[in-house]
Amino acid sequence: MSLHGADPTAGDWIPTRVDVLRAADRARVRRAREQHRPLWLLLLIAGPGILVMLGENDGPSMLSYATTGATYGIGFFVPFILLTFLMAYVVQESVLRIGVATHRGHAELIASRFGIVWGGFAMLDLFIGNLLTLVTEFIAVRAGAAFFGVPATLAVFAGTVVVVVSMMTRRYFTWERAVMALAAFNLLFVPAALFAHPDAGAIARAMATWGPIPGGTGGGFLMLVLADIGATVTPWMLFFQQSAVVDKGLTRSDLRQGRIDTAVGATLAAVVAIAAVVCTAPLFAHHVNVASFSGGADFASALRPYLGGSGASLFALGMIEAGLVAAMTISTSSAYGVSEVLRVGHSLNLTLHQGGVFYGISLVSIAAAAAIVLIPAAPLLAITLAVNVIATLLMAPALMFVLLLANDRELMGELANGVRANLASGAIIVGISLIGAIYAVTIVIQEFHGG
Amino acid sequence: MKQPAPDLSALEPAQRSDALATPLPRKHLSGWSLLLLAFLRVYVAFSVGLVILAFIRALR
Repeated sequence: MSLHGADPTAGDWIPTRVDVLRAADRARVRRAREQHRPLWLLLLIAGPGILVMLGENDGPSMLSYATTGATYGIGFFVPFILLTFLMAYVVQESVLRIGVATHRGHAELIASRFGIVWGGFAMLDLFIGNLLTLVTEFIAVRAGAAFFGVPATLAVFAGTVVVVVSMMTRRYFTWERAVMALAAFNLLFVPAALFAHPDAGAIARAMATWGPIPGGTGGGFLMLVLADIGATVTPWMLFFQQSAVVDKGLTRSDLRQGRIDTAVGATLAAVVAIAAVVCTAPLFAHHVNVASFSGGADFASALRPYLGGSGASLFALGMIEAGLVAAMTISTSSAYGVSEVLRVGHSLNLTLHQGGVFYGISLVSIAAAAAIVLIPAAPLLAITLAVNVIATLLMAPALMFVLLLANDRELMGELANGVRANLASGAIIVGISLIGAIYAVTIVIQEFHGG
Repeated sequence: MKQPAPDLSALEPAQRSDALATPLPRKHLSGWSLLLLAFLRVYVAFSVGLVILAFIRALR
């Protein structure tokens, strides 16, 4: 028997529903490859990369970008955001490779290769972090809907229904295409940014000089650096993309298309993130204080004088989309991660009966987050920024496992990390850990001085 | 109407349900890996405390 599982020559295999549906997807990919239709092949294979990147442009992330634009205008953060998405590509390409090489989810690999303690930690870290993040996704949905006068309860209920219905497809491919269609609305931030009449020269200067940084590099600057990293590289993305790659049935032969999928996703997400900064840059120019803003509706309302009603509406619609798509992908990553460690069925191709635990985890997290968000008077902007900070601090151990797994030659064979991949991943881990450590020291110092 | 038989040959052996049901063996960890994991335990303990502190501060 090989390291990767059962002896393929064994004759006692009874194909399951998941096998049959996954094989049907693979047969389509094989036909596209045999017929030399590269674009069709790419369209069939694309999905996990685009979804994970656009999914990460979620409610709190878009709020972080909006806060960034309103606090610092067009300057340092424009090229910095591009850098963070380059980091995201490097990390996500690693999990794509691990997924196609092993056909196992991220949580499952951690539990089986490093022991149940680390598997349990990964599972709990993922579930709790995701639950908090899901709360903020519903905050975004509620805030975006509030701009159009939709009551909070109705907005959260409708959002919950959309997410739950998407889970009922019982078919990975259908679920993926439906969520991708919805994720396309993330691009609404781009036309919204055009309503701000951005200064192309200022954007070009920012790209060339990594400046200006109005107000210098104080505590608030560090907080936004951390929040913007947390808005781009987070633990759930690792678990989601690897499990989605496995659920979709991608193999080593699909690696090239998988990389293109991930790169396209990162590029689209970076453009949208920068568009959000550009959208709110007029608030910086007009010295609007956003410290008391509690969500997307406040930003959309404040932007109305500068973007007009249409631009502000696009911004609010974008916030709704950001929350909804992230709620779908993040709850699914929880379901994958927990089910993999518990060693129960984990596929969107399962029926509701077969995948009771899998779908149940997703539904419970969605329902709990929706209920929590309806509790009044929470300091919403503080919570959303804190969620990104949590993601950043817990990212270092998550990245460490990616590095260990990607270097596991027993598992990865010729797809194991080379020197360049190790240098890039190592630099990202060190960078994120250092920024996390600086933030930690800042927090502790503030605490000692009663800040 | 009769459904066409699924083309299961499109699946790689390691993708089949029977293969996936078999857990992978525990990795033999080198000294460096063990040291790294020990460091990670300390980091996790520290950062969990910090996360709680940051969250309480954010809630204030």
